[in-house]
Amino acid sequence: MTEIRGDEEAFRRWAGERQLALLRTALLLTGDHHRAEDLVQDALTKVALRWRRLADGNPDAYARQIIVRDNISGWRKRRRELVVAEPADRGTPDPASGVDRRLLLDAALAALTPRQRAVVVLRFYDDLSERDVAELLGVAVGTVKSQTHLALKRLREAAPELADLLREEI
Amino acid sequence: MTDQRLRELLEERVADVTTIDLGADAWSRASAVRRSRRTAAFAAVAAVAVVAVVGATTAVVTGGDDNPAPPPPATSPTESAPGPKAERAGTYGGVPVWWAPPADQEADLPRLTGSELPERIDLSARGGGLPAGIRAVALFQVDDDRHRFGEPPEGVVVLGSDGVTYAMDASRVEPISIGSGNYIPLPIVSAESLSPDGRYAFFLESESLEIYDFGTATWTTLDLGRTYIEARWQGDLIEVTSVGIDLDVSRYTTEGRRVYSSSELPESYRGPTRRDEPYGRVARLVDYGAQARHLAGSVTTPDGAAVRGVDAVAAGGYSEPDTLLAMPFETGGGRWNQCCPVVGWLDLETVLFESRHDDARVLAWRVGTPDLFQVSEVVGWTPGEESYVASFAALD
Repeated sequence: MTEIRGDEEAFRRWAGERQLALLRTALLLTGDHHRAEDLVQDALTKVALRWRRLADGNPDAYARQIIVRDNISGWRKRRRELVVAEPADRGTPDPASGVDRRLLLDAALAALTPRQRAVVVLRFYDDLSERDVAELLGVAVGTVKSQTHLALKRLREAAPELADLLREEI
Repeated sequence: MTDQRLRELLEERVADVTTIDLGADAWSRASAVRRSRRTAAFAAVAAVAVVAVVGATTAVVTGGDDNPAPPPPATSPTESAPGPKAERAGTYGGVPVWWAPPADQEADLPRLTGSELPERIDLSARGGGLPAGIRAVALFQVDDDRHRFGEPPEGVVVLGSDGVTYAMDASRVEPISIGSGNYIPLPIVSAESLSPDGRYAFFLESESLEIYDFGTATWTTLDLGRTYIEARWQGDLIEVTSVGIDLDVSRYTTEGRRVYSSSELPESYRGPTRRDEPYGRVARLVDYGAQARHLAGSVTTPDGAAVRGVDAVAAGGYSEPDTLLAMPFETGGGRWNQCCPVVGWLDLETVLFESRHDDARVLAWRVGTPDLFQVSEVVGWTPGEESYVASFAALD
């Protein structure tokens, strides 16, 4: 019983330290706060189930892998059901505004496939190496490279206002 | 957009995100799962162990039991089942290679249930009997060369979504003729024949297709007026590729109306090297693809030998594979050349493929992992005297 309590405390300590970072990753992957919370909740539960095996290893990587893979699987199930109405015309977004910049980024990320989005988030937000991303996604390093290239190209196409602004800021 | 700017944008996007404590709830949920597993373990029939769930309706159970217990709540998709495993060794064209266990270990693979494919597909059904109103899960033609002599094609068998195999009367279909009463010994069914939704199938003729509607049990002739090199489904349209003076790719409705025409070839599934010989259909799901191929170059086996002429299931990326499942050579039996055409994706993690040998099966591979499963045995044909063509509806 003492051992279980010790496990629980250690898990809670780890989860307390890492859950915000995992939630932010999940939000960037999904663009939906509720969906992101669900993904993190499920991932933490799966880490908790294996805590004794993971505690001395890399629970962060395991949790991140669950979030990414569950998100891709979930997206497939939702894709055919999701019907998005045409948004009302809100005028041209202004990239200098923080709110518009966020909307532009959300729209650009939404133009990516789930795997391209995962590559972008893992490489540029979580700062993982190409090799680590390849391992997490279960693909070859060359695929990560090609997907990164494609994703960045599509991001620029989807949000030219954002790309232009950034060029000016350089 | 520079990498650094992209980092800053992503960080800015989530900078104000805060969270409630999810850790405590996660531990409670994990404890509840452990309790339910213990309860399930006590209640389960001895020797039956349900060990994983793939998706919402697909369960994996250990092999050798005809009456598996219902699956428990979903567990990690990375959890493995006992039984023979694929083994990771080497790369081919830069793509990681997994090696499947030999054919004689397939019967020991854990069983994957919950797809629409039954444990046993019997191709021995003969003599008609296909009712109207069914939806087909798979379409077969047992190839006994009868059509070579200009006789009506036989051996067409339909697997319905009810799990029953029905003989289908396809005598209306004219075997492909090269004139003067000579017939090319080709089956009238191709791997692409069955529509993804299982409502229609097309059958190959020389310059036309015969389209069968399983719902109404009626036939429509799609007269192309020319020979063609390929026909396949694109959603609910039939895409026909033909080469005359120019390349033509046209799409037709099931009523035979042309609605699209192009001179560009449809996107293929490439690699890992250009010399490899792809075979069977390309199965795609969202941004994943899969196709079987006969590898042209040498591949390193788990024991370090370099071998050539290996069959493999290539899967992963939309246009080119991320990973390969190679089929080992065996002495005395084993899988046939071009053994392993892809059946389709069950979900984003699992691809189904045929494993053709004297005890043919449909197997499932959790792509990029050691986990392999048996799905169906294909019986009711005579290895050595007959072969069969199979076409499957979408199973995802």
